[in-house]
Amino acid sequence: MIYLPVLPLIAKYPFLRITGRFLEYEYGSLEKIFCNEKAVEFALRRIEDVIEKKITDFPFNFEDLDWPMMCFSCDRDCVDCSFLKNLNFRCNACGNCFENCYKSSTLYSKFKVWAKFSAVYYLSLKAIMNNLSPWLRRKIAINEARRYRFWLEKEIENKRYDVLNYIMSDLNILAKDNKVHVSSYLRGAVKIRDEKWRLLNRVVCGGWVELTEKEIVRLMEEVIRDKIEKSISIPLPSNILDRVNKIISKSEIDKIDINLPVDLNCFPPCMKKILSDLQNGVNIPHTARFALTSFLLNVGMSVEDIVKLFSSAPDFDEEKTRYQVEHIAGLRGKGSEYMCPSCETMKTYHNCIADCNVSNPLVYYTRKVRNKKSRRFK
Amino acid sequence: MEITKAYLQKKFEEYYSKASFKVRDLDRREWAFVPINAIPDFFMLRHIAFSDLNELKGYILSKIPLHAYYSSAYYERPGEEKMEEKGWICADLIFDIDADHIPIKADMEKALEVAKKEIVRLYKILERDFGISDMEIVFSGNRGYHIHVHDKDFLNLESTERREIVNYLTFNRFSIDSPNSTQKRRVCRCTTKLIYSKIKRGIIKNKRLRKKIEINKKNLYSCDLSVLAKKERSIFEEHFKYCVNLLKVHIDEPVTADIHRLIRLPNSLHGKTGFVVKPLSIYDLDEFDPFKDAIVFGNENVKVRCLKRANFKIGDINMKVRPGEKLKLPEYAAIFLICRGIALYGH
Repeated sequence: MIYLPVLPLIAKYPFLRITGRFLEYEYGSLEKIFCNEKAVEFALRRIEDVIEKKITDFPFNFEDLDWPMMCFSCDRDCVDCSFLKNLNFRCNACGNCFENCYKSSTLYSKFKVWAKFSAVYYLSLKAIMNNLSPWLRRKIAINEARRYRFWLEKEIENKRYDVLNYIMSDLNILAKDNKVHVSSYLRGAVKIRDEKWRLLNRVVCGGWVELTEKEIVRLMEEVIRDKIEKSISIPLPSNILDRVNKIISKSEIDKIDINLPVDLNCFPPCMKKILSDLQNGVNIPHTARFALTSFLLNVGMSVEDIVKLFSSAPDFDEEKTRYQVEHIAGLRGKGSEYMCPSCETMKTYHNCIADCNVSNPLVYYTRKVRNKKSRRFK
Repeated sequence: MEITKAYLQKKFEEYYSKASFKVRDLDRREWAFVPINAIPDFFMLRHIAFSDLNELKGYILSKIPLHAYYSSAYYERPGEEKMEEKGWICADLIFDIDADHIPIKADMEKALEVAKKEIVRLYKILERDFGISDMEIVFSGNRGYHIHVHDKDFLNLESTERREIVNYLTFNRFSIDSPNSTQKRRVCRCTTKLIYSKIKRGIIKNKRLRKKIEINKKNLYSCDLSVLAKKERSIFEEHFKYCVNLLKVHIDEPVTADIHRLIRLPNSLHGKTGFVVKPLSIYDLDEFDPFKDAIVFGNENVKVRCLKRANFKIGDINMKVRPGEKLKLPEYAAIFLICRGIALYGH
């Protein structure tokens, strides 16, 4: 198995599915993978960088890297691959077309070293991220995805549509010409908080959304970010795990503690409204009750206090209320605490009453509390 | 009460023994039923799974449900009681247009007529904008219509993604300043036509605007308002808002966003009307009259006694009833009143 055209691809974009096959072929086991110290080290470094808000450059220079995506002697293996040159969306990115591709040996060994480094780097990063808190995981994913977007934009400049198409297929993004299928579009677009990314503000026809090349890459960035952020459980060797724990303990110190006491003045307008309705004995809908309860639990209010709060509801039943609040708190049922509904969800159920420019009522609250604190320090 | 229940059970059984169902991947879905015996309470038996059509039919015939539902979602283990253990795979994309959600003042019959128009509009947008062809329209058996989308590109959508489709159809947070888009062009086209027809009919008196529209029709259709003067623009804006409301599809929003929804089984009976939950093709829809075509019961006279005051129209019958009144009605009307809780069986 020799993968010449795919090696530079793995080196640059190790999140591709074929990376797994490559690693398995080259190393055979997880232990051997984690022996590539340079790559593992770089992954740890990257995470520290994110915490310290620094940037370390990738060790290779991919600029001006020009390589053929296919060598024409072997592309017969997979019929679909002949479409790679066009905007192809039916390729399933199986990678079979790359088997046995082989050109010059010096180029081959150079690409292979790069690919191995990147692949191990990516896998270690994912394995390490699995041990980190969600906010840090997200930050790392955002950082990584941004770098890939930068490279993808370069591919456009160099007209490497074959590369772009291969990556899109790999990410299950259906695309043709400058259009992306609605289902693929929504996958990325719902995570981008900008009016122009709302489906309502797009040209949509026959299931396809029109996008510019740059926008397609922006969409890919979101899908890639999501892919990186998703957790996979890969056990880390103990020596690496120790290092990770050190990083975690360092990062925790920096986190601002926004715990108790609950500050009513910092509540977002929607929660204030629900609260005041509740206290005035207005019968509020179930969705609003759920939103308020999960919000209050998340800002640190106790089950007892929340039950008391609901006692002014016209249909108050203490036993039922307690059961439901405890359920939302994760004390019953499957045992996980519910998150406060996002602003988008609040809007759907007509519980949103203002435009606060945040994505979740909790974000509004934490920001307000934080601002208040920092003002006090000054 | 017991006699009424027994009567309803017998009649529903007669229907179900002849009914046939067509459900995709029924072994992957969760099933739920409201039993007739529980009347007047409404409780639902859910988390039920079947491996094939025979098992489903056997269950229905042995239990005779008042209401029958299946999940829009497909699961690995649909019979598990806890949602998180079911193993969600994907879900049909569901749209629900309910006459109650349409902001018009009209009786039920008119409201249902409007709901029908809405569903046609929705169907066309799904077809044109979203390229969906694999979908079915179903009369809900009571106050509305459903669309079940089976197109496999749309089954994997998550809740937030489905909500974007909702926003698209309902023009949530949309204004004349929104970027140019398919929906905006639709509104601009409608606005231009509306203003033009108003000028023609003399409702708006503005000769210059008429000329402008005639010359710049294409620009206006594609939302290029630069040709309009300040005052004309304000006329346009005013009608723009009206057109947004006109073009909005009044779907029940949470239904579409819900990826675990239970939805009525097509060809089952609706326990609040006795009507059949009827699958319809877009071509049948125009002719379809729920108060005639969703009736499955016969004409024989049945004795009922009324409990409440009510006004109703069904089949060939259009009448008022008062509490205590004893009547002989055709079977379908009797069952309708019993299901509605307006009457009991027998004198």
